[in-house]
Amino acid sequence: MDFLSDLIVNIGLWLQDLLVSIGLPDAWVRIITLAGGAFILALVPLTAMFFLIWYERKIVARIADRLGPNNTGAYGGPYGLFQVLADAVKMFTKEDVIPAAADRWIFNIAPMVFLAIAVVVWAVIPLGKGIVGSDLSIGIFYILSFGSGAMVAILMAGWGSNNKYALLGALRGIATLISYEIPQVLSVTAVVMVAGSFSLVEIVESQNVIFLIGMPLTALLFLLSILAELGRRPLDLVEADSELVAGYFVEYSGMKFGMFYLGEFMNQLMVSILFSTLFLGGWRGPFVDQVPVLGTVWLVVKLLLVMLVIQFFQYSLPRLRIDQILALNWKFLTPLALVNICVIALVGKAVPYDPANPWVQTGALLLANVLMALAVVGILAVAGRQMRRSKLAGSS
Amino acid sequence: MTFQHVLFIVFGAITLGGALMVVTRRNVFNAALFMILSFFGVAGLYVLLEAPFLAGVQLFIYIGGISILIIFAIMLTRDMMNPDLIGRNSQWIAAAVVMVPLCAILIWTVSSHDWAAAPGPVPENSILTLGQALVDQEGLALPFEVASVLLLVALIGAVTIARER
Repeated sequence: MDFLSDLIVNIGLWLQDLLVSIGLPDAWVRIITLAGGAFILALVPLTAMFFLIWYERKIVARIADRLGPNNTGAYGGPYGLFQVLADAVKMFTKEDVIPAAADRWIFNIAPMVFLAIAVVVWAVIPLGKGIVGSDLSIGIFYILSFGSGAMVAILMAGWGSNNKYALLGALRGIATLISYEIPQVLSVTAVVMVAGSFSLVEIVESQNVIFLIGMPLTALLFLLSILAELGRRPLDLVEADSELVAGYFVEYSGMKFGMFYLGEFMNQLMVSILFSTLFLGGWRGPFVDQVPVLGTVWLVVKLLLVMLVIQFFQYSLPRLRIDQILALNWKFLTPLALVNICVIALVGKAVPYDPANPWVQTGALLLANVLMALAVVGILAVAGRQMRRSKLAGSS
Repeated sequence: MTFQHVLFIVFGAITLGGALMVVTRRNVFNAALFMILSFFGVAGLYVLLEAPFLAGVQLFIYIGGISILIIFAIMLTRDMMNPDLIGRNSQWIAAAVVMVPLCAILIWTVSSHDWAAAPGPVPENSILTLGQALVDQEGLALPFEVASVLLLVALIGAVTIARER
């Protein structure tokens, strides 16, 4: 029972003991366990995709009042669980079309870079109590830096396709990504200020009261900016499925398209885990101290919840135009994020963190956030009323 | 030949190989992409020097900002990416006359001195030290930050005054 209660850590320790008992030198044991852990950690998102794509398709279908994958297809499997596997196999068997005038190296490397970046950021996320790939002191900064590497992949895909429309889509995508990095980084900075460290392990450990309760406005800012980073409706002009076919990866077919598709989903998974870790407390939950492996279970529950929220946004709101997307960022989200940082810095210093009584700081932060939200709504209402009045005066 | 030596050779090869490709490619876009590879190698070298924050900043700013800016500038310059217009560099003799002695002087300087110095102490939490150094009241960074806030205020004031109504 004790072994089961901290399952994953105990499996790692057992493996290490096994290797030492074979007689390998210490350095080799370390390298093998680390490499094995890295391999498994890289496999986790790839295999989780099989379930999560099915999850998304079921939710999308129910929102649209239809059934989604179910067992009436030949390969559907019970409840349509094998549908994703069938799709993956289908993608492997498609012909790999490369445009004649495309730059072959750039064209072929782009999906690899995209997928690599989606996988590489998993190294720093605490997946449970004591389970983390690498407790970097720059944890969240590492994730943000590699997020900017995705821009390079998109640029390579758009340029390497030798297609004007793909290039335009790629440039718009990069414009969106660069713009929405600012409110994203600023809202993450607010979390880092309150938690006191970049390291994700310490951010989770400092959430005696989850940050969603203390900083709801920051969480909302983060959610909106990552919706744009993911390229999800309503901010997905880059890859508008029904209008631009596929945006910057229109020329890709077969498994390379599969890698882009998979990379996008893994970005969604990554972003959900990031939100759960930063704002929902990661692996924290009831009974985690007694049964540490429950931490991973709680993380999965929170992750599924956040993906649900993201998909609600995605499948119920219409698409925005590119100038509306950029205007939303530069005229609304960035000033709000800056004000948010200033206010949270002031309140966080004025009401210091008291481990005996964490609700004091949380309450103060919550009050500051609510006041800011009311101020924003008030400003928007006044501005809207003025715009309507000037429009009425102008048209009459 | 420890693991760190191997990593240093790998990252150094990535940096130098990328840099070599940057200056020898005909296609400017390929050169820009190799520059991104070179920056990635430099980030790896920063990690080996135990400066993880600098490595992250390198990725964030150089690859995610400056390289994208350079690529946009390349794309917006007329005829820069036209493969028919790339000509030969007709001044390579003069360049070689300048560069070869300069290279020889640099190599002689580097190889004739003993650069051995003990590595300095690395704080184990470099981000904490960096953050404290940025706001240290007895330090030197705070006056610069205050001056930059003043400049920002002046900039906003100038834009407001000069704005067209």
